[in-house]
Amino acid sequence: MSRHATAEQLSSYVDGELVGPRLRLVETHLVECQDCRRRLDGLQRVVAGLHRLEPLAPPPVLGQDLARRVRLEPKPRDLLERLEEHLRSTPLQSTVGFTFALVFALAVILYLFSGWVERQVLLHQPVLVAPSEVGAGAAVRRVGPRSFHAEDGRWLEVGVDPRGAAVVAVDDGVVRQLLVFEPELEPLLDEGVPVVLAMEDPAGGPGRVLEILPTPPEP
Amino acid sequence: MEAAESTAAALAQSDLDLVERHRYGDPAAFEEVYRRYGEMVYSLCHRLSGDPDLAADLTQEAFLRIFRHVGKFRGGSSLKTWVYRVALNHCRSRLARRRLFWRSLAEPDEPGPEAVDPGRSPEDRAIAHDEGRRLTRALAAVPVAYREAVVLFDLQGLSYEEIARVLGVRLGTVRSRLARGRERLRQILEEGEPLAPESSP
Repeated sequence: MSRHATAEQLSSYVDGELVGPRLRLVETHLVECQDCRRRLDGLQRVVAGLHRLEPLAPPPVLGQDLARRVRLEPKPRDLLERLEEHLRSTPLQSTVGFTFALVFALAVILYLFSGWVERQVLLHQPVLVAPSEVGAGAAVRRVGPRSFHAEDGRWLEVGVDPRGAAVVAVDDGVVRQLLVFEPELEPLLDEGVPVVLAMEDPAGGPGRVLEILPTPPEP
Repeated sequence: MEAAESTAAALAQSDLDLVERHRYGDPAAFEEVYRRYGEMVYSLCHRLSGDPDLAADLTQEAFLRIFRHVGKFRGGSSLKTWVYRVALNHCRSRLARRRLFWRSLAEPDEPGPEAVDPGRSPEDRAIAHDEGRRLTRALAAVPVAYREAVVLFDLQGLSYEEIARVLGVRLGTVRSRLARGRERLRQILEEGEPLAPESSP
């Protein structure tokens, strides 16, 4: 080696990275060159000094501050959001097959969803009371998939706790009086919000929509 | 060799499990990420900024970024490398924007709390403290690209390969930047009082 060792050669030498002919070349040169020995000595001091530096510990409050800020962050994205993002980032394939598959999938989802909505509506419909019919003779009546039985002058749905049901008194098919509210309706009516209930006809006739208006304030 | 490979594989799996738990909203998962890498990131931010208060801010902001984006981690590198990359990029953008990559060398900030080594006497610690201040000041005068390599290799203990992944450069570039950074440090320190020899405690 006729010239001085490069900074990279000396740095690799300090790290023990040099092997074989490259190592011998540098070692031979160091024996001959006082200037490079001095540079190497300085470099070794620098590296040793850096290695002696103590690790820096974060202030203890940092973790607590971070935890507070993290609590204000939106939660990690759920599965649906990630699916939406994936769909957005995927270029749409304008092929007939892809379009057909998309339409078919949407149709299946709509069908399943409409069935679910129907079940929910049926489950939450109020019990219709018809005192005259009850008085004429107790019986069990089926309305679609639901069964009602007569009890204490009103029709109650089989398997449903009557305490939470809306009970409406009717006479000859005309609504006369609202006897009991469903508990969740009360706050709405207190706020003056009219409530609309879809009523089922126990005789199997067309359903009716009953609008329940809030009680006007007393003068 | 096989033991090292199985340890690396277990660590990679542990990283992925942690990220998966975070994706599904387990708050303990992110706490574990901070427990593993909090000191490492703070130390990096401190060495790059030279300011303990700013380092605390940078660390917090870097971890908020990590919180928001760690769900996208797919295990292409180790989680440690990924965390380093996020923290380093944040330091670069924030410090460059504020033109505070290094504060005035004439009045350096207090170095902040250090992890105390109980094996050292108070005298040794005082010498180390003084030497640390001189080294920190000298490091401040090293160009940013070289300084990053020195901090990651000599202070953070990353391998050449890990630094190449963190910085997104080739191995040869890492060697070159590290060598130039160390050489620059040597020149700066030789202009002042030299450091203690390697053999000193």
